Amino acid sequence: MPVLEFEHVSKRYRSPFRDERWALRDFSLRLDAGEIVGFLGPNGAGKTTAINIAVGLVHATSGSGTLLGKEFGEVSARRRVGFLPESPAYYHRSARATLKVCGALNGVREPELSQRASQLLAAVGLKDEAERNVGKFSRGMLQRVGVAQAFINDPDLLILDEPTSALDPISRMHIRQLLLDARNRGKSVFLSSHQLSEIELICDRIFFVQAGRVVAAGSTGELLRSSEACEITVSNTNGLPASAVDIQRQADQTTFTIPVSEQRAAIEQIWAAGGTLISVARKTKSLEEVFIDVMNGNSGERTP
Amino acid sequence: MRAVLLLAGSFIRQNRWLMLAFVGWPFLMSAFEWSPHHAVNLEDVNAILQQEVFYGLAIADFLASAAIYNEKRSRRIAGVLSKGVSRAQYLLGLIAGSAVFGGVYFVAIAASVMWLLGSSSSELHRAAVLMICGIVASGWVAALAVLFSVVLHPILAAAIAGIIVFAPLAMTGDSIFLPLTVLVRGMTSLSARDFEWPSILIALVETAIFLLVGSPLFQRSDVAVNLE
Repeated sequence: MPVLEFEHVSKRYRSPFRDERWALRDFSLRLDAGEIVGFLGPNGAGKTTAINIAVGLVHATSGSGTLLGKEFGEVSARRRVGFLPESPAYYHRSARATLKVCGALNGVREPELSQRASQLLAAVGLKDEAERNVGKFSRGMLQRVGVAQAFINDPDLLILDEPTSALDPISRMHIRQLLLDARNRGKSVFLSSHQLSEIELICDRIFFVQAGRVVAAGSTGELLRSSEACEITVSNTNGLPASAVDIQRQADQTTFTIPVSEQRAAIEQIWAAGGTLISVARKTKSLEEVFIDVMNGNSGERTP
Repeated sequence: MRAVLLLAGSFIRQNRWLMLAFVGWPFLMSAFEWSPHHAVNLEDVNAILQQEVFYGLAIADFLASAAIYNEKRSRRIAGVLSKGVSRAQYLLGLIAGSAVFGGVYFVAIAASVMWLLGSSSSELHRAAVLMICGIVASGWVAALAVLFSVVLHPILAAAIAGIIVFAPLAMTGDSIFLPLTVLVRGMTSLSARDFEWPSILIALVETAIFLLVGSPLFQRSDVAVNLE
């Protein structure tokens, strides 16, 4: 059973003084138990809208979906979810009291509540700031409180919108470790972020969303492998493979790029044409390059 | 219930300085009236009491009608309604917070009136009427204001609720459907009055009706509109 599923969800925002705008169009996505899924897209792609629909803050114009097996908006499902909004804001009280209120709203009782609050404050590096008013916290500290409160009810599903924004590298490492530990305990994580290096490090699967639609999806390994290419340098040949791109000629040498899957055939073709192979180098794209390719429509698109 | 209490507590906490100012106000007014050399003028006390009750109901209207809007603007609402809290519980928390705010304020009014008029048994009875009716009236006004604020801009919601609350007070005669008129007359009268239980009961039922009407409307609304 999926822990989170969107089925053909569309969302239209309307305002009397502005044009209507579609934030999501026929958006479908499925997250299974025990995986970390990254949710990537440019600003305005509809990521936050999709997350807000999942946690019941916003209603879909059409389509449906389930959260932990219940329809979006069900209170009983939300109790088992840990949610970090894009820009977390809290009542002005101590960090410990903030976590305890968030836990209490999700039905966590004492003494478990106090124990978990202390553990989580330590895990996000706020043990010494536990009694300080969150109103006096920096953006990064507030973000860490936000992550801690998302974990306070030991949720089955974590929905995190930009969890590592405004965080220093050490804090990011702490959060990464928390998320990996959660997955190892069978929890699921749905993660929206612009920190592509973070996504690449921890996500099992990635969904790319653009203009309110999922435009590409796959396992992180698959997506990176599918973008691998070979850069081949040859001399004394005019017969290049048809799939060669980025062709550069310098004196009698020619350098071009082809997909890894065509490497062997290309080399054989060059030898057959009397050419000399000078070098073959594998080029692996980073997730950032894959993201840019997908957003520019050069992905050899794979839809979910 | 726990969620409602937590939300009401947060509402009070957010408005604690305003509440402190409102608690001090009746004592300040009484201090102007009080003199060790002569007895207080009952007409003056009555005028002060009427003014203070008016302020109590007005603040309940303004606070409750602006509550949802302020929580949306501060983005705190996303942190609350994404948890195991229903929209009805959220509204009830706001109404309960407003009623407690009103309750504390009306306790302060009752104490300040007793300071001026003495603490005989009839004064204690009048103070009890003031407190109970004040809490019920604050809850009624808050529920009405919250109901309008679910669908209207807070200024408009406050204005419409204000008209419904205060316009009947300017008229003669009571309506069974507007129990606030009877409650306010009971609160502002210096002649010993009994509890108007029918009006208290009707006010409580109407508060529940306002909540029941407001909850599904609030349930349908988007609370975190984000065009990114």
